[in-house]
Amino acid sequence: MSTVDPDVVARRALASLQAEGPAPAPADLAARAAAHALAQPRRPKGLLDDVVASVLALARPAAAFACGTALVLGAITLRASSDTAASGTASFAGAGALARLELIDADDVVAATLPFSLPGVGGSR
Amino acid sequence: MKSMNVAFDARGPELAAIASRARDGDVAAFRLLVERTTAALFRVALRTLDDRAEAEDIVQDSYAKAWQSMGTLREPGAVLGWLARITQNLARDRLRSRKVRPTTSLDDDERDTIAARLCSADPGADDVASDKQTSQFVHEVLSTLKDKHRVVLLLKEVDGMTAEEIGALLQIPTGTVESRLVRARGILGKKIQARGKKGWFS
Repeated sequence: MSTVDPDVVARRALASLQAEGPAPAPADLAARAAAHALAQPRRPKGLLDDVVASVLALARPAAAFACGTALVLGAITLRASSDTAASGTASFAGAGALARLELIDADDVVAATLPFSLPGVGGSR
Repeated sequence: MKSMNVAFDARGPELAAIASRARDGDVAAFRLLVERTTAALFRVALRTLDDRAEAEDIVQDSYAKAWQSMGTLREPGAVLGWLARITQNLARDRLRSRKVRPTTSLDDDERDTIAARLCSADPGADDVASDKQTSQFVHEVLSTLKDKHRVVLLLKEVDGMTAEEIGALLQIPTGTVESRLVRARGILGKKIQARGKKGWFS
């Protein structure tokens, strides 16, 4: 039966790991990784990369505008009605727009691990 | 614990310039980029997978993927985060492909004893011995956490990174790192407490 706060339990548990210390990478890992990577063919930048980049370039300011508008409208509504729900709605809309901003980042598209290959699109396996 | 500055050692305008040259196909610059960022990527992979051999594989695959896609890197100044994101995605794929949860040599009685010690109200319990069994047990519990929680917790507590460094490495706001740390500690503590009641962590 536990008798202490979960946070205390967690701190005790984590204290037992601190003796492990930072894990250094193997000395030869960088050389091996570079050799392995450079043996791969470089994928030329494709037409779809440019299309995706153009769409994202347009979508980013649009999403930022939507986010800003939602926050401003929420604040105005809140001021006018003193309805706390308005703030929550605005925050939710703002958070949604911000999340979309993060999702549409072009580098995410490249970094995402896709389960299939598309010519001209990064992230294939 | 002293901060290891793993993220910040691999940042700055110099790295951006190296990444920019690598993006243009400069092989020597790519080698330098790998040299400067391997330690950070290895930690991300290791803290996600909790397995050194698998972490090494993932780091190698990350750079292969990065080299293939290097031409599409838009912001050379954010190359560390870009690489870390690739590593995280690959490590998560590897986690999903694992058929069974890694187990340790502990038996149920040993788990119960360790959990009871960690949950004890005895003030002396704060001086938890960092013995191998306790460490194994804690890693076992950590393996049941969501990787987004486990990674920040291990980078903070074991690697000694600050919330700012973790945020820079994982490309998430410092506030998000801090909230994940609080949440992760709470879940970890509750899972250990539940061990005595349910017999397992999930």
